[in-house]
Amino acid sequence: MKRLLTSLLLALTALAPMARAESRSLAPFEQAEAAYKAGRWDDAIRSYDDILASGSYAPELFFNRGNANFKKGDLGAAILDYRRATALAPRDGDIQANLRFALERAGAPAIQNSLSAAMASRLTREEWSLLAALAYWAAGLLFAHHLWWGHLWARKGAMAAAVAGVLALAGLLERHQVDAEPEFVVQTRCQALFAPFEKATPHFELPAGSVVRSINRTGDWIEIRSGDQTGWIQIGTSREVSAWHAVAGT
Amino acid sequence: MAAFLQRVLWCLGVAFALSLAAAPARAEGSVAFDIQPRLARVGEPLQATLTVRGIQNPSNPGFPQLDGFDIQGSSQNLSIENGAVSVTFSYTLIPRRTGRFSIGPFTYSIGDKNYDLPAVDLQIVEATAPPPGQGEDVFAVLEPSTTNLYVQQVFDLVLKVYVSTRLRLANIGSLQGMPAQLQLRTGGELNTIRESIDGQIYDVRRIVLRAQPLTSGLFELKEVAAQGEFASSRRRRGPFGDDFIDSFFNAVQTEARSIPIRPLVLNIRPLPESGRPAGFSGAVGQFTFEASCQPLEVAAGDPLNLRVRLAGQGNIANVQPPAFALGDGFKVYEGRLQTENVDASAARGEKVFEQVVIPKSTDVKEIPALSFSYFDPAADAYRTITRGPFPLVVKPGAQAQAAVFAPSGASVTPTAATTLGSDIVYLKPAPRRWSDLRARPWFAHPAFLAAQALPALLTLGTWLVVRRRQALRTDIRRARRLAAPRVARAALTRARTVAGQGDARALHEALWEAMSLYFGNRLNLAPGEVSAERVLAAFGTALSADDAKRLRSLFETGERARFGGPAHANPSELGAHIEDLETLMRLCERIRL
Repeated sequence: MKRLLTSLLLALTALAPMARAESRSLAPFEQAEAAYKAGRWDDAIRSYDDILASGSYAPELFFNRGNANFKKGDLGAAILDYRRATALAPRDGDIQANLRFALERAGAPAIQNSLSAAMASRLTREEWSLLAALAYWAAGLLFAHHLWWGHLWARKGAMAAAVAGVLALAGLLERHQVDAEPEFVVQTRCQALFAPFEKATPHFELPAGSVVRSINRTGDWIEIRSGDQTGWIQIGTSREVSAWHAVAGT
Repeated sequence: MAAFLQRVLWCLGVAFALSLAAAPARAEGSVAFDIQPRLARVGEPLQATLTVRGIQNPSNPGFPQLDGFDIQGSSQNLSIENGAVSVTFSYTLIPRRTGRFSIGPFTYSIGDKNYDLPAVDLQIVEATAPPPGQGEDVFAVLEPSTTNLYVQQVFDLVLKVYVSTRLRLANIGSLQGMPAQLQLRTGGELNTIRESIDGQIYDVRRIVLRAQPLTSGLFELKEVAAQGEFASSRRRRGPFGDDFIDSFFNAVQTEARSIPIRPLVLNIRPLPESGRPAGFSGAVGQFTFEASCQPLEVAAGDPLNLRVRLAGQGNIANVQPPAFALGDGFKVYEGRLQTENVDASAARGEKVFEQVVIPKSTDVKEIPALSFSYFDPAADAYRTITRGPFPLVVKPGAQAQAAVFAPSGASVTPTAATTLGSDIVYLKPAPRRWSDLRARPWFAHPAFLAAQALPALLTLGTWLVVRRRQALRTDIRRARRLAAPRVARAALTRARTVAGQGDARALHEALWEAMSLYFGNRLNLAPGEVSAERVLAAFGTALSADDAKRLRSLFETGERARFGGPAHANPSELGAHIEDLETLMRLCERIRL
């Protein structure tokens, strides 16, 4: 049994390199910080863009670039960066504070989520996946232990782990559901229309920085939901929060 | 049980009889007269119907002789609608000459009551239809219910499909070529009527479409067509080649055909700018608006429920609740759509929204008035409905009481609230770890996904092993059967060792032990019970006569050698004994008992 457990631990250790995170030179990041301190917002943004263009990202980078955009007065871009930072570090108080502040400054409505969506958004997809996997492994090992040795505590532990696993899986699914409606941040003040046509009737106004969810898409138009309201906006007026592949250089 | 069922049936019968008896008393009784179709050719049968509802035992008055018509037979049909008996007398009329006829009026008398039946106008035309090709066999027109149209207004667009009486239109499909800015939903079908155009008689199918223009402007509907399915008079032969049997199979052929729709221009006007209320959010139609708030007496910090109901006809599917601008005195939560009952054509219905709001302090005295604005296209004007304000009694909450608590003797001096931050949080230091944009997330890595099979496999494997162990613990016969080859192999190894030393007695002792252990375990026999007879009896005919003889010989040789044989023998001869026994054991191992 000990040999088996050792083998499993070794297998898990072998998976560790998959969670690859690289370290890199701090120079561009420090250059951006220096530019920010000097009030050269555009230079700071450019330096952060360079890091992204090299293929690396981190919540700190989006947070700092959001700050530079905020200082520059581009509230739409700042809120987009803060939302991207939130997606990577959902429980970071600094990011939440700056996001709230920027939304207030932009006059954009606060982000409203249902209770389940808000709970699911407290963790990233990676974190939900890790929780679910750990609970599943624990449940499997404990149950196997109970079968082999007959220990009651192992069975109770397996059941608790299974419950935790189901909850984590529910969280993961809810998070998936939340992500299924891609989030967009409006970049320029625009009108949401009743239909996807330029001459369609205006429905409600969206200030720059409004965070909306896309529920449908046709051609160059996306149907968005903002609070209880739904309407159509042209895709060029907003940027998608989770479009990581398009992040570099934006 | 039978008595119970009988009683239930009796009760049901009595209830039915009572309902029939009560029906005429409830209903006034009515009589209707009609003839269809009202436009026909000479010689084409017409159906005259006299329907008597809610009157007991109505008499058949017969149909009077009419100049220009032959009366051919009559029938009677009884039906029950909503508990009321309805009797329909039908008469077949054959027109014999052309002209316009007014059939009736008639008076239907029953008992002391008379019912006046208005006249029905008929038009009878020549029996010979214009030759095919002279007029259009099939075409359609679109008729809007109004010409005063606005963007977002839901209005009826009646599709009238004219089909020559020579053709039979089975189904009408969707419209093709309609502009995407004009949303259409099906609103149902009206009765088919007949119309005569240039001597051609058409059956006119009328389908109501609910249209909703999404943009303003001129909509020129030029190349619009409907897809129709026409039933052909030719019948496909069925599989039995018999007309009667084939009639049970739906062997009528259908042919798809495009029905051209005559051009139509719709002028859709934008909603007027003048007089547009500030809170107008795009509702067009006729609506009612109700609002309520529960409870009206709360503690500060406690929630109350604001309920808004919007109902009416128009673009109800797009209608949004009014914005809840309640001011700083309230904390407002996300509102939600509680119920939505909108008919299939999305032209009428109701929506109920609920919003949780929390008064922050006792200073709040009311919920401000809520207004809902919509544009009424019938009146060409905006309308605003206002509900409220709702007076509110807000008591101090538990949190508020705690805030004014102070130690005795200390003076409580109110201090102005200060804003602690008016800028964003400063930059974050460089991260210690960076993620790679191009890297696949670890949870989507094939190795990780494959590794997830391990716990399940481990659990399954453990369960199988444990189950096998438990089975062997309780099933002695099976456990011994499984152990037989293993223990025999161990004994044979010992036999080989002593065979090399030339010790015949020790070898036969070891061989006997191997036979005893193997056959004892294999057949679940006690050590003393193992004998050639028991073994051969157990294996029966599964062993060939030659093998049985060899086995018996091995047993006999073993017994002789163990108790009286020579102490030493030729090693090759001893080896042959071992080979023999091994061969026989392998043979027995393959035999299923």
